[in-house]
Amino acid sequence: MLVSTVELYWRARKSGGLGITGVEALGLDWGAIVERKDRLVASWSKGKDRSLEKEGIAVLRGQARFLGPRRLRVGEQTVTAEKVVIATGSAPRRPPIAGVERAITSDELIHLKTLPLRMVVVGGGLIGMEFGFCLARAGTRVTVLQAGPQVLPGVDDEMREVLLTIGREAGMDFHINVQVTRIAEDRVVEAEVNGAPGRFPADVVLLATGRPPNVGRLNLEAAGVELERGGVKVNEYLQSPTAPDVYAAGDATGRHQHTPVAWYEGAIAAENALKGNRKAVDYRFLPTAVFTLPALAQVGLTEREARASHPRVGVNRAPLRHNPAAGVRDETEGLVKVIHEEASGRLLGVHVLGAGAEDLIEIAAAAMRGGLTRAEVGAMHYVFPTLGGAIFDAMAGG
Amino acid sequence: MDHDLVVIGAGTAGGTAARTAVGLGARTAIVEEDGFAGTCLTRG
Repeated sequence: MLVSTVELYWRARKSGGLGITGVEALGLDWGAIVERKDRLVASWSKGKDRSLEKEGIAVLRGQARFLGPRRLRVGEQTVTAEKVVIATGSAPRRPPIAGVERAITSDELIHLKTLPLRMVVVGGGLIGMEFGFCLARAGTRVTVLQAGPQVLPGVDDEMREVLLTIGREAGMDFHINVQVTRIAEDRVVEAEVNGAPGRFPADVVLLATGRPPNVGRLNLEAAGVELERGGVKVNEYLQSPTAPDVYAAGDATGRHQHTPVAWYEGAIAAENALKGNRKAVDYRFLPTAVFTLPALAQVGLTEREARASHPRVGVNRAPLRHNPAAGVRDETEGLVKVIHEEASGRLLGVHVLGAGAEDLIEIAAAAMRGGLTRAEVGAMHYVFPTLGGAIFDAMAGG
Repeated sequence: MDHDLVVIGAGTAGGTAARTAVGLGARTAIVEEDGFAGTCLTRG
């Protein structure tokens, strides 16, 4: 929501070239934006406040601890069950850095009343990049520090490079291979960058170093449940391989941390637990988006993954500067990239960077789910002029 | 056994799991850490 308001502001600010006057006078009342967001979020949770008890679900209040695979301690009572689903979610992490108390997490950032002049983001994953772009477009000078060799490690290499170029044009700085050593009293972030010392002054330091699964207090050893990458280890049925009566879903597995995945996995875990392992999870057609400005969305494989698993791979691109709708809207940054298996034309992955990417990707996901080939999608009718046309043009291209 | 299925956590995944289970006719319970809503679990 903050992102969409900032996007509107950003587009308005650069609309002078479209003949709109007075854009220099536009400003952001950050406090009012945050207040509106809080009101909207409150209204949603009110509407969603359907009582679980009314639906026939027994609600047990307290912290759960396993006593055995099918026995739990919840507060003062012992509870037994044929099957258990762990769905404890995740929480932001405060890494063990000296002076970490001088930094804030995304939970606190979304309640700031004024925009900082300079923000240093520790962590170049999804949350760090989304807040980084949002504040950069709002006028904050943003520096992103990533511990690993690349930001957004799950995205396509080429798309990442284009996104970083757009970010730099927006005044952002990105540093990789950064080990933050200390956050000083004056909020200077001290770090080693590729082994050399670096200093990054900030008014706000945002910690975006991931959201590990909430499993530490469940006493999983008593149930025989193993962990993997900090989350509950599960097979394709979302079942613990070492404790077959225990299943897990959502962020607690530490794999795909997205709300639609939590819906999907919650339903599959419950059904498999009760009816036997009937459904295997399948993420081949899972569309995801990073809400940078512009957004980056993908479904299926990256080019690197596709080349590693298929002998002959074709790649098609449609830059948005060739898309008439993007030109009309003056939103020509970005591109559509389509990866397919050369022999069959089967779609392996689609990547969209640019205005509306989060919606455009759903066209590609539907086409892939339906088993359409690249040429079949490329031959489809579409409305002109639309941003979505870029998907079809990319599929049609040589 | 007290329940056919116990779901730990009443967030997005947990809520969907519990509703699915009830829909399948199972005796279902959900564990909610009152006042914490799950988010503070890892602070320890």
